Amino acid sequence: MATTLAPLDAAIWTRIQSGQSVDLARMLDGFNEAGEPRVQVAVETVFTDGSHPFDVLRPTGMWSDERSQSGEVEALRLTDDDGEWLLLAIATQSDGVFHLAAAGPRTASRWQRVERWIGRTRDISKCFINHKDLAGIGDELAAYGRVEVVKVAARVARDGSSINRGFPVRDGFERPSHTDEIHEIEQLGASIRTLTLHVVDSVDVHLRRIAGATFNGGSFRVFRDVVLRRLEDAAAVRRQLVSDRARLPGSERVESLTVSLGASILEDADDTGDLLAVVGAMPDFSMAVFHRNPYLHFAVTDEVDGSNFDVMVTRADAVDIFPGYRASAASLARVSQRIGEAFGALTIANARLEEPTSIFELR
Amino acid sequence: MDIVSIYQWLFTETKELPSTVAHFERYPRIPVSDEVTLTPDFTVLFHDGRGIAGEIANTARHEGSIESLCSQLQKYSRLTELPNAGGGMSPVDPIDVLWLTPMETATAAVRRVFERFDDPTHDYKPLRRPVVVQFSSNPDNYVLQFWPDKSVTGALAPTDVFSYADFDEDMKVPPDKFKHVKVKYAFMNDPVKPLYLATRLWTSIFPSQFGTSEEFVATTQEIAEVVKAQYGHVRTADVEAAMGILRAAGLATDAKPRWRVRRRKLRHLGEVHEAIAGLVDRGTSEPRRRKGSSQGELALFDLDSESGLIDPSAVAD
Repeated sequence: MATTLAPLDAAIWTRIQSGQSVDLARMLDGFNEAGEPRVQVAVETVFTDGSHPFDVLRPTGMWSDERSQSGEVEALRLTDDDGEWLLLAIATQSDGVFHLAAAGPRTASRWQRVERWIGRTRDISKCFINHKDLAGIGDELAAYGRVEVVKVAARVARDGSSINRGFPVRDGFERPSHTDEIHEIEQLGASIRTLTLHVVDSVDVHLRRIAGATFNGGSFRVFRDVVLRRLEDAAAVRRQLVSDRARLPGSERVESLTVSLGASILEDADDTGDLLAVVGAMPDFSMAVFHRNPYLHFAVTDEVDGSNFDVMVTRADAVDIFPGYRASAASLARVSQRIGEAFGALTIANARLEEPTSIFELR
Repeated sequence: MDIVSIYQWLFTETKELPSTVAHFERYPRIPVSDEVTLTPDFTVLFHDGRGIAGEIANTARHEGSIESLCSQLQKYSRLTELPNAGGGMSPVDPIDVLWLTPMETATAAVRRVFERFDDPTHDYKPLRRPVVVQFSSNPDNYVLQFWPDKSVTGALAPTDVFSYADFDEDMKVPPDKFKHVKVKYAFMNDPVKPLYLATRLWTSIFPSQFGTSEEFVATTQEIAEVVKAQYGHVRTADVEAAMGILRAAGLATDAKPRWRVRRRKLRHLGEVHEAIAGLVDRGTSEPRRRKGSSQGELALFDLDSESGLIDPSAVAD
């Protein structure tokens, strides 16, 4: 049967089938140099407990699927009503961290489906990257050319309102650099959700806080070396952060994970009620509220794997998650990142180690 | 329970006090004779031999409750040993009794207790005047305040080292300071409210211990041992009462001598404590989500009195 794969997918599949290594940068950059139509690539960086994503991902609505691997690239050849396409899983140097990728923009219905499949696969964790990781990608891209912000989408933490700014090319007008724009957004008390960058004479990228990126054109090699590597690093750190966190009997101190919001937005019971609504809407999780005032304290239970957490809000700018005696990495990632995503968190990290308080500070 | 967690943090994690403390014990059980065991809410053993026995008491209006409190404070004042870090007991001298009372009822409570102390015909004659700290819970913090008139109440025993007595001001403790202590120790000495413990069993203890098992069987004693292993303290009688709640909710059956617990998802019934209370209210039939109960509107401690599942007087600190 004649293939209906697009040219890039067909070339990748041929190489995998013949056991040849797949160097996406070489192939994509070769396509561009040959004057082929511009190819976009949507990527989401995920982590697992070590299993391969394709062992646990369950694509639905596809006529057929076929799996094949060569080196660190594994492809799922899928068929839907519009024809055939490839979903790639690219293993990284970091244990349990993979890039899932497909040709096409993020808005394509195929990629939207992929995001839904990932979202409902418990054993695949998305990664909500810290604010500074996003800024760090821009900083590193600056080594390849001037970084210009094309579009930015952000959310104001205090009232949940959105900021969407676009910077068209105009004579006599220079688009802002990522550092200027990030600073301006921070001044508004907002956290960035997506950032579209044009690196002059180098690469066009779209970056998302849910560790994803889209290659929009230019050098895939730069995209790989900077964007994908930084996303890999962020996912590896996050994977380590949420792994092996279950409490152990006899442990001296119960350590929490802190979702730092960057602004004092959980001031009163109405504000913390929003947090309860966010967690309460999570499928497969139940909760029980123990205290509302002078602080919020509730238990969250993963009804599927038994993971459980104590969640506390004792300051208006942070949410603390204390793992219980059963706490899977996937479950902790879901709870912490959902809260982080909903409230535009700056970071998700271990609670700060603080100097002991002097009782004279308690006056 | 927050007050005990605050004092545990104060004596074991602040900058000045931990170096003076040999051991802090939550809810100790101190046998003083074959028949009598004393149960202060906490004790502090200091390196220089001093000690504190802390008691949190919400006094009721009736005379019996004051008499009972006086009797309790008197017994604590005569303790000669307190728990040490090795699991044994160490001699203590002098011992201060720290009586903690809510600010809103403190004036009357202090007057009634010390009237008895100063009445030569009354039996209440502790070795030292108890030290009174009144406390209140505010939106941002707890406030702890030594009773200002030391001619009425006692003062902590003098010592050459820095002590809690040297901080004679209003102490404001935000919950951010002691949150980890509260998570680690979920239960208190006084009877735990059955709905609270039932909810804790369902949301934290059973999932941790039994994972995704659809069904498990265990005796009350076995469940109590699991709770102790996870949270350090629970009374078997409280576990029995909490299991009674789960049975009334149709979530456990009494297959003597064991309980048979069937795990089921309660998410669709609202928050777990509401779901359990709702199942109890309606027998074992499926309840609807409570009217007027939007997300988190009713915290567990709001529900208790509403559902009539517990005796409100059992609500300790």
